Amino acid sequence: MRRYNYMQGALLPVFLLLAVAQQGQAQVLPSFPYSALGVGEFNYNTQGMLSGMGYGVSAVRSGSFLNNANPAAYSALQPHLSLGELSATGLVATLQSGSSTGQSSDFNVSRFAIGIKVNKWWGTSVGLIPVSTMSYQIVDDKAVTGTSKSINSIYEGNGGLHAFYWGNGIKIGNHLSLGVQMNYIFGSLNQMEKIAYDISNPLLTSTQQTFLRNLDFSYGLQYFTPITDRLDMSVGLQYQGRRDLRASYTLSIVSGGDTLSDETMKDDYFTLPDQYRAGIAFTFDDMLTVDFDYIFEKWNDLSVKSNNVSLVNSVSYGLGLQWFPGGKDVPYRRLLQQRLLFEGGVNYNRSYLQIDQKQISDLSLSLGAGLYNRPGNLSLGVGLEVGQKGTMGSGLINESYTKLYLTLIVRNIWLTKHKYY
Amino acid sequence: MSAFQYPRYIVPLILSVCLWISACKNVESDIGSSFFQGHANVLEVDTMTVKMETVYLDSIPTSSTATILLGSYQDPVYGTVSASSYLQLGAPDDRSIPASAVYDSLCFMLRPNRYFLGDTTREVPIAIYPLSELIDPGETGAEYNTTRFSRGSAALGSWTGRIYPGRTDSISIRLSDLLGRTLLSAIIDNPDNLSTDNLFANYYLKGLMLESTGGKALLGFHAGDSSGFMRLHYHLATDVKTSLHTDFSIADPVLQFNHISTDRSGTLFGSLGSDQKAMNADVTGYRSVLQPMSNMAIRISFPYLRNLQHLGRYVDILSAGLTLHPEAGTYTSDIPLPPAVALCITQDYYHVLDTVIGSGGVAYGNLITDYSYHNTSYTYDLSSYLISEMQVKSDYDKTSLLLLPPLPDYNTTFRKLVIDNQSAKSSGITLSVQLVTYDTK
Repeated sequence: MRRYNYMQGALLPVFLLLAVAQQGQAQVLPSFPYSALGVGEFNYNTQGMLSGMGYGVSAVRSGSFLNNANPAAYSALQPHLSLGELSATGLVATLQSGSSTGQSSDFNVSRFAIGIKVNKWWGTSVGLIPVSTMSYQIVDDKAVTGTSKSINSIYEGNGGLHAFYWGNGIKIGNHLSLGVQMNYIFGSLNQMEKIAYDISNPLLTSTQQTFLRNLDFSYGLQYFTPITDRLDMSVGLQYQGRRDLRASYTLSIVSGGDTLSDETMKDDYFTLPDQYRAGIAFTFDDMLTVDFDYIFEKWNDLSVKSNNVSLVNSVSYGLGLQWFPGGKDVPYRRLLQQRLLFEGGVNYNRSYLQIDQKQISDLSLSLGAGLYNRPGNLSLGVGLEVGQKGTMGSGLINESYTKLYLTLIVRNIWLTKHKYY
Repeated sequence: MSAFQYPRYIVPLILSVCLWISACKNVESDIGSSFFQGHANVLEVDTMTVKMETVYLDSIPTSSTATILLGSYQDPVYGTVSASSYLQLGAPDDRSIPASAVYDSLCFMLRPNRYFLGDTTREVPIAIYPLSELIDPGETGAEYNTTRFSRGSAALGSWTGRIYPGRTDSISIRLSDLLGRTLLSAIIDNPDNLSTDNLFANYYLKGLMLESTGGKALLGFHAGDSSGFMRLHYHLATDVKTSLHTDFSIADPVLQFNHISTDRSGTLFGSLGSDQKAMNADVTGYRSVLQPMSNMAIRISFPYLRNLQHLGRYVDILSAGLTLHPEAGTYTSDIPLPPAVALCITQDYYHVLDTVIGSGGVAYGNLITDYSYHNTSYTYDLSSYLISEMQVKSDYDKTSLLLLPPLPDYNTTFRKLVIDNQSAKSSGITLSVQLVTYDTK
């Protein structure tokens, strides 16, 4: 009891005050330079309660939380369950390129999803999930032509893509689930270029706003079967076809108080490629799940090349572990140690970005934990991903990052009573 | 009681962690700059062509300046300039002179105003002639430096002597006794004939012309109550020792003006005149001259200004500075520069639309004088002017800048400004334009 008062009475207010104080000092915008390319950095982590497993999740079937990596998994929700999930993501990164170093952090609410088990063979989910994120502020020197003076070029970007989805998983028989998910991808990217002697007083600001939208479908399959009494296996497949995001652009250029241009440019398309995802998972004693995922994105077909950046096929591998000390029916366990779950993962991604003929790679380790309250109507998931992205070389960037995923899940079982055992 | 009440402190703790992450300091860096080509640029252009001409000013008003200019000066650049002054006197201030008055003398009084140009060590001859016609300001209500009125052939009086502008208090030029006696008689016998300025001018003296020829300097004199008037000295027969006088002052400031003539023959500006109103500096020794009293002014324009728009898809002028460096050797402490020169925005030759404005009003160049190293300069901020000029759509609407000194220098002194153009060995004009450009490619 004394410890509890100490935490709440002294440490937390100090922590909060420190945080607020630092918030006031933070004037430089979070900058993740790779997000400046294309439509931002794609999010491969499905977040939610699976955030600690990294990419290795597509074959995972869970009755108590959502798996957005594969719509076929929605049919695994336990009967009569409705749940809401709210996720937030924090990111801290240290950047290095040549002799330059930088540090950035960001935090935002990133995901909201609702899942309902409609009947014993149909699970459905709607929600808003992040597709890509753009956030950068880069300040560079530039020579003033005709003089020996220099001036600041400031590149800023923010925004990203989200998908509003409606996914359905239908269980067919005892071993197969098929899923289809409708995704309305939308978002805006705000990219600014400023030129200024004094950053706070730019001489010229150009702002390009790109509005993207698209309606498409993704398809999933899960095949699951017991292999032995203690060992279950599931296979997950997911396919998302090539999508043309319709892009509308506006460009405004303001010099001092003069608006030099404020125009709506011709619509264009940004194409997302075919994505194939396959995973296989083994579960021992309903306690330990091992999942291996392979993701392939066919960017080569798009033949996009801009400056020193070209798009190439992307490959990702994910190995995820999930351990339920008290078995999978965690919401209804009495003991704390039985209402916990732990996760771990290793992820490797050879990115679709190739810069100066060098493909950007990303290697990360994930850890996660989940905790259910005793009535089983509230659970908390925490995922930590520590990784390194990029390749050192001329003009390339090495980004060491730490991501924190937080998920709050509210559960409700309708038309039934809880049974604790 | 094994209930685990984690929400009571775990949730605040996690919220604090979230806040802490969001508050982590972001460090500014250039990492990632290689991903951008950069569409915006700032550049400074100081090689833009500035067209410079000497233009002929038809006339400038010289009446109502309270200044009498006399003499001549030979300028090595633009020729010889001569000044003479016309004025019309009014009725005497005292018209109740008794019949016992005895005429003594008639004089014209001049008091130097300290302005001079040229060699003042030489003797200055001044002659005063009667006008044979009345000074008529006409519809414009002003007289100009080109205006002349006919005069009598015989001088009413003359004077020769040295004038030290800084020391000489006044000079008195003795005029014709015949005129003096006539005026005294008129005051005594017919005061009604000179009861008004017009009557006096019509009956007795239409006006005077003051002229100084043969000297080597131009000199300025006050024209007002204490200078530039005629004084009739007399005494009463009953009191020989007491000298009395009555004054004939300038009737109206408009009726006093200076005529200026300039002989540019033998100089590169010889053909400048009403037939050739503009001479490019390229044909006048790569120099242009500002000297309004001699009908000369400098006009500058920027014929290729709009070409700046081709430097990018969008171009905006951030700042523009014009610096004028007077030609070395054309100014000294004795031949000073105009202390202020305004830039008048003109169309055609003289149609002044506006004046270039600086931070504190009309821009006069903030003259910095350096006689030792010839770093003398006038500087102007042309940002606003060039921004509006660049937006001009047709050549017809283009404007030029006419360099003119403000009043009273404009029409009471002979201060000149000589500027070498960009083709000269040492250019006297620099236009520095800082632009921001944006290319969408």
